[in-house]
Amino acid sequence: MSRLKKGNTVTGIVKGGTLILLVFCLFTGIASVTASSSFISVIKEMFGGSSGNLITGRLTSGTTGLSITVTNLPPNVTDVPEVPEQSITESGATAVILYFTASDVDGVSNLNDSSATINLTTTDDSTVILNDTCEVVADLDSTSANYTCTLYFQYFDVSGNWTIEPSIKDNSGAMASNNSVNVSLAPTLAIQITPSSLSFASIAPGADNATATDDPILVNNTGNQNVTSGNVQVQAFSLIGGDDATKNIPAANFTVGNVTGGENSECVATAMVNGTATAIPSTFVPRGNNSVGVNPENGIEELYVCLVDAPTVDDLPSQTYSATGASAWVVSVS
Amino acid sequence: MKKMIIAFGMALMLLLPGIAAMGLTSPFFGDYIEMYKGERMISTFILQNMVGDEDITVKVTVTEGNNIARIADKKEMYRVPFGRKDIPVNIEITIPENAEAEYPVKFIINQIADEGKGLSLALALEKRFTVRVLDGVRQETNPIQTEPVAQPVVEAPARQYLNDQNVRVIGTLLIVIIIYFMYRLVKKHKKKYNLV
Repeated sequence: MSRLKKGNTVTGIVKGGTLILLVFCLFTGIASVTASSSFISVIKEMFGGSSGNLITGRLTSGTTGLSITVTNLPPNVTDVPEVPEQSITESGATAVILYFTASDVDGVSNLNDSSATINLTTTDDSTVILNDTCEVVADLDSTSANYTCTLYFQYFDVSGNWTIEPSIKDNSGAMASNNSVNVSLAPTLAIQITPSSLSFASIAPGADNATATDDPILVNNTGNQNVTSGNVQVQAFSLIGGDDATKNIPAANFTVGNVTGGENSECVATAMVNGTATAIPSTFVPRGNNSVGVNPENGIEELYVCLVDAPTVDDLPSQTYSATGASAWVVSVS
Repeated sequence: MKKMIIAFGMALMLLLPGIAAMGLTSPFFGDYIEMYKGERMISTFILQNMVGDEDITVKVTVTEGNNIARIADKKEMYRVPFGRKDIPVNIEITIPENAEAEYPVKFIINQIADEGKGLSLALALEKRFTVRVLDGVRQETNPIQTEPVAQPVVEAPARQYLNDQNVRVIGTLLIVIIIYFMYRLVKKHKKKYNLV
């Protein structure tokens, strides 16, 4: 007995067993059945003839044209394992390896492996991460197979729940998907600042508005938490003389701002307070794709430093002044 | 005049590595957690050092809410090797029986800057959250909530063994069986009475 496949046509004698098969196919939708016009009359004859009397008994069998076309059944995504909570990698990507099982009653070979994909979607559907290069792990049995996909969370992807939605098509293009499992992405506050030190050109005692030569300080948000306005602070310390530690340049003589320009805007910005974290107004660093460009909207803020007023000659002997180690200036975010 | 010009320099050298960076992952979403009076829990924050190429050392200090929060690791300095994102900082929170309605908690992660010359820049991360105190006792089925604003994870529904397709198949099988027996009955009847 040969196996009936999609598109096969069967023609033959309609007996009880065949009739059962026909009814079964019609009701389940497994196959569509078409018959010649004589088919109905044959059935009538089998069950009692045109008189409608069930027990008249005429034919116990008959021959008629009959075409059975086996229709396709869609596949199913039957299992999506739970995934532990994930966290981003600062300024990088985090690989997440996901698995799912798909099945097809038409046989595992009817699953179109190359169509296996997984979407990761935020609960508000605002962000989608797609992987369309899933691979088969193994066929599990005659109707199901296991697939794996590797997706990447970017450092700026929003924290919270993401829906995992694997999907696959069969060879006829019927698709199945499953969005019943979530993965949680933890919030990470991550910052990068460059450079790690500042320098000034030689400054005369009493000089005004000397700006750092190698600012701005770039504050990059390399995580997935927003740093809102007022939550970027600078804790400044007085610069101490290298040879004569009794001499210093007070922290209060410096200002820090997030803009610069021809008139040195940073020199009329926020004055520092020795040893105190001071918020820089209107400075914010939301999560964002830093590679797009230097802009707060992309998660990069700039800070400019100005020595507004150098001490007079009596208080500023020629020597190196520094603030390092425990006295290093601290850029803090929250 | 020349004598008046006294030069000084700052930042004579750049300190390695030229970048200060670190990350801190929170065990909960949002800016508050809920606890019951008399309850104690440990929240584990995770440090990471994935940018640059140097190991870093940080100092962790609880600066607000010391009456209920403390570092549970019995140390304040943490070394975070480059390439690691799994260094835990455990904060123990204990709510007294006579607790207030809520407590603000703040701790700071300060990166220790290298000694050197010039004006060094260091990085600090501040973590602030509020502990809201609830009356009553936590039930066994209501474990400590560490993700207050996260939407609950949707459990995968039980596999639908009786989906539409299966119902149709089973129903059809029953119908077919009935028809089959009717057919056999008719056939038997015809044979018995020789009605062909």
